Amino acid sequence: FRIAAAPYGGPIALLRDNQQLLEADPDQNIDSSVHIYSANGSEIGKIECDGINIVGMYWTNKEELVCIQEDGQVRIFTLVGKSTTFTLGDEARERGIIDCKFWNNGLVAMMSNYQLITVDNFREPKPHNLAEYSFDESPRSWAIIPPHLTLSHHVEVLLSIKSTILVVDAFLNQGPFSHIAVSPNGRLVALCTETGLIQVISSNFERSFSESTPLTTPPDSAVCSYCGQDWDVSENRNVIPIRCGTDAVVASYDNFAVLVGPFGDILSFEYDSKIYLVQEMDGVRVFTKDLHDFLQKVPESTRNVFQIGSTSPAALLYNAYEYLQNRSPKADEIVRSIKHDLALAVDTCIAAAGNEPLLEFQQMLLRAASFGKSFITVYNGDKLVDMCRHIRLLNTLSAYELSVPVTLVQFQSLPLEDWIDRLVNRNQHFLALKICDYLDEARDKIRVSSEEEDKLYLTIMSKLSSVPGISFVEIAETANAHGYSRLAVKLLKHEPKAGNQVPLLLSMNYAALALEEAINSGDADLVYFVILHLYKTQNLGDFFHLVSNNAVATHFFEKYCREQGATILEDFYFQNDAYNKSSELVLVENLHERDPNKLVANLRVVHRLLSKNKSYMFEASVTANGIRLLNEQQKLEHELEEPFVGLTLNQTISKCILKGRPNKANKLRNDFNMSEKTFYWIKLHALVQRRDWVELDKFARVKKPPIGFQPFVEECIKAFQYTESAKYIAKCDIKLQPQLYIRIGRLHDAFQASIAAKDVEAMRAIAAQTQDESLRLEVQSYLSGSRR
Amino acid sequence: MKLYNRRQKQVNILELREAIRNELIQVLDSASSKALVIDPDLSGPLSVVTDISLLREHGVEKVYYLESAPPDTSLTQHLYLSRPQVQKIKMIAGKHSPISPCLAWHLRRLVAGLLMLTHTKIGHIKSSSSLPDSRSYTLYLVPRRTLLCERVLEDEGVLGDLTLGEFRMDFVPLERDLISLELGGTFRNLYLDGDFASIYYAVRGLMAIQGRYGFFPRIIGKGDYAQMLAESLVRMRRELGANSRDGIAQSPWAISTQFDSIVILDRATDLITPLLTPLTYEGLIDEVFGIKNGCTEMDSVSSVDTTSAAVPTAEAADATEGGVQRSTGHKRRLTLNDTDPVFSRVRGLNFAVVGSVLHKMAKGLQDSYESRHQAKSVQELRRFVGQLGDLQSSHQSLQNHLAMTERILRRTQTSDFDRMLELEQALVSTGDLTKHEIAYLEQIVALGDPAATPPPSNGVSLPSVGASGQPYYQQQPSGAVTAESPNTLHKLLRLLCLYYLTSGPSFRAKTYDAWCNEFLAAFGYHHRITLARLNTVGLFGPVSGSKTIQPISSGGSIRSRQHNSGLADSSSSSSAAAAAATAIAGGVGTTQRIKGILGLVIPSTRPHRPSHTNSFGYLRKTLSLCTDNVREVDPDDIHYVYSGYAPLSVRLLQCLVRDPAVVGSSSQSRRRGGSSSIPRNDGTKSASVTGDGAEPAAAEDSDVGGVSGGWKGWEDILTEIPGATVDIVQRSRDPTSSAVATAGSLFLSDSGKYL
Repeated sequence: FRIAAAPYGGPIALLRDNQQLLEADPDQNIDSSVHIYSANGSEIGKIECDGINIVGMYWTNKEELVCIQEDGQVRIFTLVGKSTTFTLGDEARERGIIDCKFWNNGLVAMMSNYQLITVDNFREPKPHNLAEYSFDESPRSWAIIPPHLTLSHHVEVLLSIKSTILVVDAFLNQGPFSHIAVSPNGRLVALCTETGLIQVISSNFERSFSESTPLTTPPDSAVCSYCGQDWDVSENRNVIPIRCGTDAVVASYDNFAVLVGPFGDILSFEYDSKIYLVQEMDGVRVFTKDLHDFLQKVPESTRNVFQIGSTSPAALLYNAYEYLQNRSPKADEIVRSIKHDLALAVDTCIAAAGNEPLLEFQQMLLRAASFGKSFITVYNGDKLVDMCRHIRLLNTLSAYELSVPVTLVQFQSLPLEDWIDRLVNRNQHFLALKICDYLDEARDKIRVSSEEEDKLYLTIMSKLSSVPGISFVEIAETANAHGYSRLAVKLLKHEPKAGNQVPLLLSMNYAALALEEAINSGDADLVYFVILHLYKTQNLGDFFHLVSNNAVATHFFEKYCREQGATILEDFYFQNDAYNKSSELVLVENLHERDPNKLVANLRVVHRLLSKNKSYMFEASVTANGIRLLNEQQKLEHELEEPFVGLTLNQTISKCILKGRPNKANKLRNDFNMSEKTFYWIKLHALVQRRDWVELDKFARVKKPPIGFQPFVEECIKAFQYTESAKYIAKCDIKLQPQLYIRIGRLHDAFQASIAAKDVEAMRAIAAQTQDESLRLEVQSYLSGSRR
Repeated sequence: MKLYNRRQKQVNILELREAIRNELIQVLDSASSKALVIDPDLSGPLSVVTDISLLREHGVEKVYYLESAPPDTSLTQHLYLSRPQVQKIKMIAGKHSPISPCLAWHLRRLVAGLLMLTHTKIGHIKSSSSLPDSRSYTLYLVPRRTLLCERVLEDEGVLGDLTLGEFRMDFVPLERDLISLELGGTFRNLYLDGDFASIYYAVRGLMAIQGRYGFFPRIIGKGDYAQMLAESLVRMRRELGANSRDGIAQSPWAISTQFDSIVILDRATDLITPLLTPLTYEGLIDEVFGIKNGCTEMDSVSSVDTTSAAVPTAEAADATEGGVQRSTGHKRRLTLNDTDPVFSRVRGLNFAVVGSVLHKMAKGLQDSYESRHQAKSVQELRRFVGQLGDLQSSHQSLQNHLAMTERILRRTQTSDFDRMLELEQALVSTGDLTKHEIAYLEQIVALGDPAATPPPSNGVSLPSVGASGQPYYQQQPSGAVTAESPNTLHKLLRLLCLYYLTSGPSFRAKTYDAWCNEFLAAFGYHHRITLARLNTVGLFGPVSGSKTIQPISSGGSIRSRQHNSGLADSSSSSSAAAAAATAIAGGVGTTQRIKGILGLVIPSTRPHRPSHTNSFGYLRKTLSLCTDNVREVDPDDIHYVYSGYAPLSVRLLQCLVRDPAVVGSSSQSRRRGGSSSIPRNDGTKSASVTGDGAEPAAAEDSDVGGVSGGWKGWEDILTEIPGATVDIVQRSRDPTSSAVATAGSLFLSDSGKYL
């Protein structure tokens, strides 16, 4: 059989090993399904897998069974039998997987050509190949160090090939090794050679800790455990403290379990039948045909109390309590002798109780602790109370019916929620846990109920309203599974997390509602999720209808399409008669188009779209203008052999003037109904740029410019044409003249103008600036004259 | 986002940097030695929290910017950091640019390599060194791993080949009192695209802050997206309560004692302010050079070259300056925050006085240097030497700022700048233009230069920028600080939008059409999209002042939101006030189920139901937004930051804290009678907010009054401001959280039954 046992006292999966010979028995079907047993040996599940070769099995921390098949398929089952599947890729399928190793969240699979594939995370399976290496021989054995324990943060694989071990690039020259085991904390590696030598080294291969040869045949399997100083075999409820070293290796040899300490000391246990070893975080589980044992180090506290001849305070206290039960006065005496260490003794007793698997001893220890406690004036009883609670829980868990034998260390290393989840997985809601209890009731109600949905809803709500933190999604899921979809929706309304609601609503085909909820959640990503889901699953017409009925969804969809460059947007607009938007789409697409013919053609399309609706008059006329302009520009290009296409109207006119075609410019201005002011600005600017002062002069004389003469002045000044500008200054408003003259440095003219404009400020400025002594005197005399 | 905090000792928002840094380290440590490829948009925010040495320490061998070509490196591990934007993801995935796509390129090599190996069995010695399958790609999305991006990666067929993660960098603390999401284009995303992802990021960031400092006792705000943000906050809190099975909803998640409220102001409440030219020193730096991530870039030419108006060529500069600086083309980053003593002194001052202050500081510095000659004793000398480091750094900083001031002066002294200001002032103070001013606007349009380079921050091709409906470009290319700034699209749009927003009913449909025609003729007919988008976001449109403004074409045009309007703080408001608030916009209800506003109304930047035809005119009068006598030197009111205009958003904050500057001058002062509080100066900073998009401002006030009065008394103003009004009181103990505790105890007591 192949065996996989879940950590933390979880269930065990069994599969007949098809590589082992079986006595031919025509009557008996060869059973190829995976059986799942709880720790007490009762079958709790069965997975049929006819004709599929399962290469490896593993239980995750969440008590999900991962099965990897020969063809590279990986299936993950929960205890309730839901499964998810992913594949390791084509190569894996072609070559076939021959072996597989796991860690909590990932796996490394070996293909038949001994290449390795790794998956980091079951939730998000992304198989990728590990570094290639080439050898023809099958590795004797291999092991992995999970990524969170390695320095490189990547999974490391130890392969025993020929006489070396291959890891990243470390080599070891002994071997071949028939088995490799890695300790739970990833720091130590145990190696078994063909000759039976067991070696413990650090996982970076820098230090070797111990070597020993318990037996000369290679063991069947080896499990490395990094435990402490003592080992405790709790078999038949006998406590036998045994001394051994820091890090022990357990190896199985058919019927023996051999414990190898770090200094090579050996201890063997004999069993009736072939054994299997499963590594736990603080010990080793041993399975035989009819036994299920747990090998563990003896915790410090237990040793303190029970070690023969122990004189630790705890042992004394325990003794004292025994005397008390026998009504011996010695009890008091002993307790008094402990005195100062009493608190310590109590603590130790409590801790020992926690580690004690047997009920009677637990009680004895706790009572002893409680007895000792009464002698201490100030002692915080919380510890005792907590321990009592924990022990109760542990006992409940490991009780025969439930059968999850866990140690306290294991129990404490997982958060409470995980344990609750595990119970829920086993459908053992009514056991022990109030919250689950509530949950269960609601679920069962739904299961058995034939009541009317609304009534049911009220019942459930009345039950649940007092319990917060309940996932309504689970209840709703159950409801939905039993055909009460309306009830499910109602229940979902109470689920506070939109992230939970939406997927279920989607799966129940409440598309519009899901969309609404997603939008209400304010989580843009959730909206995208719904939209993309619908886009994939619904037919296009329905999808468009749904999206266009929701303004927000429309926005999101549009944005998605724009960013993706998806052409589907055209269809969407078309279906919704959103001509304007369609036309914009065409326009934007052609922003960088430079071929005039194509541009015109596209604009025609735009124009046609826009003329379908009266309300787009403005847009349509703009487009018409655009087409006209393009035509004109094409003509101009032919005539002048200059690029025009792509210019704006203003630029086109300006360029006409620049190139000395004022008539063309005039024509364009009339055709496009350009305002006179604008035209004047453009022409002025272009003429100055052309430095065509004669034309400019003519232009100014045609009539009084609508923009006034000042711009003429300004433009000339900018072009450093002061004489030219002076011409136009004279035509400006009299009040502006002095300052303008000052700017071009014609202070005499400025003075004259300022007299005319009675501009005292300007005069002062002139007086301050001038180099001409006579002018300054003149100005000053005028100033003083005017003051008088 | 601005955080105001009077008790700096208690809340030092810079603590957040540490958290982000730790997160970053975790991200970096996910791979050993690697090439880091970062999204250019992230380099700024990242440089705020980390530096290159930290990256090196954590195994980053080389840093590349994300561009279409793959980084040319022999390193096998590639770590990408990117915003979750489709285009960037595509770039990473490699199909974006057909020239040499990054990942696809590598992947093709990978496939080719494998084929060679498996089928032809040749060349694997040659290729073994460059075997691509040893390459690994990790992509971290900032600040969130989105389903959308996953989908894109899946479509591109590379999802399986890279490891995807998220790096939560929500709010980047830029200063002691300023945190920012540093997301660009938020306003556009919110009001044009309807994509409220940024709001969600803000919520997440705020939840993190609440996790650190406790829940904001009160959420108060204005604007449709402000309401969304507020509601999401409440919702998230509920989710939090629901998720924790055993009373996690306790210790750090209590009501904050350090903050008394958070004030959320939607950008839509005040579209006008960012359109104006700010006149504080910091504001003008932003206008001329551009401030990004608390930094500005200027050419590393010091004041030496000020005589040459045009930008000198690199060689010329080298020749003239010798070895003083590196080449002119090289830009220098200058961090602008309060750690710079010079900058912190002048940043909030009106530019008119900055020059003299800087000169005074230069003089003071000079004196300090001189003091060494007076130093007689050894101690005195030692003291001087001790100060030397400080002196030199302020000297350097002063030099930079003087150089910058001169550059800014070159700009502000142009007639162009004067006329712009004149126009802006006229618009905000009267809402109308004189003939002369209109003539100037016409000139800008007629001589509009569509080819002029847009500001550097929008380095996209012009049409798409113009079409984006984002007129908030206060930067000019720093290289192009010539005497006359070109008549860019942005300059014109800024003025036109301002014209539209301030003028009220005097801006008629006919005016609009005329301007549109001129505009399109000058900048190209395709810009009708720009106009349409501006209209969508409410910055420039055909009609104004009319009451019949409808929300942008929306499917669900039901606007009655009364049904969910059980006013939040029933404890403090009188029933009359409650009724009033309900009538305004429908207060946020903490009813059974919080309904997102988006299901009902598309957020709009236009007031929901204004009672005045000229909303801005009314606000200007009531809140005394404009004044003629500005005291630029020793300001007594926030008016000085725009030389006569007080930003509306600042006024709103002042309303909330019952600042006498508002309460006193307001015509309804008697009715409001807020508690007195010290005149505050923090508007200085708020005015320099240059945000695009809904920029929430979290205000903390330990003043006597705080915002305890809420919006009460300001209802008539709020009607004229776009968006919903928010006022939510968060109670210390949700019924949920207390019940959770009960459940926890139930659980334990009941478990005993089965022992």
